[in-house]
Amino acid sequence: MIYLIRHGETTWNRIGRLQGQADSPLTLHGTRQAEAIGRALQPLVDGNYFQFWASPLARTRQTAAIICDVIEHDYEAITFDDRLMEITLGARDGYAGWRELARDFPDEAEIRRKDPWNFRHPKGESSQMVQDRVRPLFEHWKNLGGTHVVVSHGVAIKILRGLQLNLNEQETFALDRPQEAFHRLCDNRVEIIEVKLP
Amino acid sequence: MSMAPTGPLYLLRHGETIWNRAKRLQGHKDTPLTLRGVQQAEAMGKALARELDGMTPALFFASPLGRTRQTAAIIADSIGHDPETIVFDDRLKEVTFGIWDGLNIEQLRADHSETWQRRLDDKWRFVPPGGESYMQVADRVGDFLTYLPAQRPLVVVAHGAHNRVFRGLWRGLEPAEFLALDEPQDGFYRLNPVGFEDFIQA
Repeated sequence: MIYLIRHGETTWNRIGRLQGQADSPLTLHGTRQAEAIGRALQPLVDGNYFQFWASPLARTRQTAAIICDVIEHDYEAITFDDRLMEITLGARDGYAGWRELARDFPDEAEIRRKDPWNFRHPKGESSQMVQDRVRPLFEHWKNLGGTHVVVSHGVAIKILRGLQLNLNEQETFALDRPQEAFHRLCDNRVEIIEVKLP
Repeated sequence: MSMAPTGPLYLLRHGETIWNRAKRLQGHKDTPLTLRGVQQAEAMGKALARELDGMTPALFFASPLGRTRQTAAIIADSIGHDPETIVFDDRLKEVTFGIWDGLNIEQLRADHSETWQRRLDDKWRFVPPGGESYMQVADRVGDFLTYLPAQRPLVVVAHGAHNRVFRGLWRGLEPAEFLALDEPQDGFYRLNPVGFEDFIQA
């Protein structure tokens, strides 16, 4: 059983700024999302042994710390794994938004439109490169069995769900990236668990 | 001719972090806020909104460390201030304990009892290995205060030891008095005018 959790809303998520491996903190709303996810997760993992994995970026550390307190898990026992980091847009990490990027770099936008899966921003990663780095971790969890709680990012989680469902590139690319829900990978399925904010 | 600023400066500390709870020194290292810590940040934000009573801060400063960025974002949201306009200033960073950053305080006391004793003998001037003395921190905080903009109200989100130095300089205290000040996370200080402070309970 693998629980895939995206970080809560950040200040840059809210204004549409591109994060990649750059970072901004959780908003007040994002903080509440993280707490709500913890409350929904708590009964699902209560009393079971599980391993907790997270991306080392600040927004996932902040989300993981809140979830740990809610489910009474020791934050210091989290395994931070660089392979769970978000796709980096390289030189474009922190850019104002997709529209601004297309306006300022129309040639890159055109290449991306033709083959989004393999496109890399300058010094950045393609979705294929992200799949190549998360796949060994995904297979490691499958081989280990048991329960794993994973706090990661929008694109990284889409790709993990794609691996679970054997989706092709287009199907994986088209998946959503919710922050008021998380996913459970169970057998060969992906279930979505919606959360309610107080 | 500059006018003496009228209106307060609000000085806040970040909410409780994972290492605060574990009694580990953070210095320039960092851990995220606990659930209690984000609740403290939100409560301080609400109390600050009541204080401001519809006014918006002329400037909002914060230390660039992760725990103060996280706290500042929650406070900004609570008072309706755009977090993108927060000014991050290195002079607001916590005192660094150098190679001691990240160590548990009890462990440090046990493993380095001699050095620890030297620290206790002269806390003001003592420089931890690779770190800063309070006196050095007073230099950079003093620099921040000297060039403080005249607009009010101001909001500053920083750190425990740092804020003691800040308040000590503001109030014109003696070094020994600086070190005896508190480091609350369930409220903050309103500094107005120079020389005075009031505690605002969140």
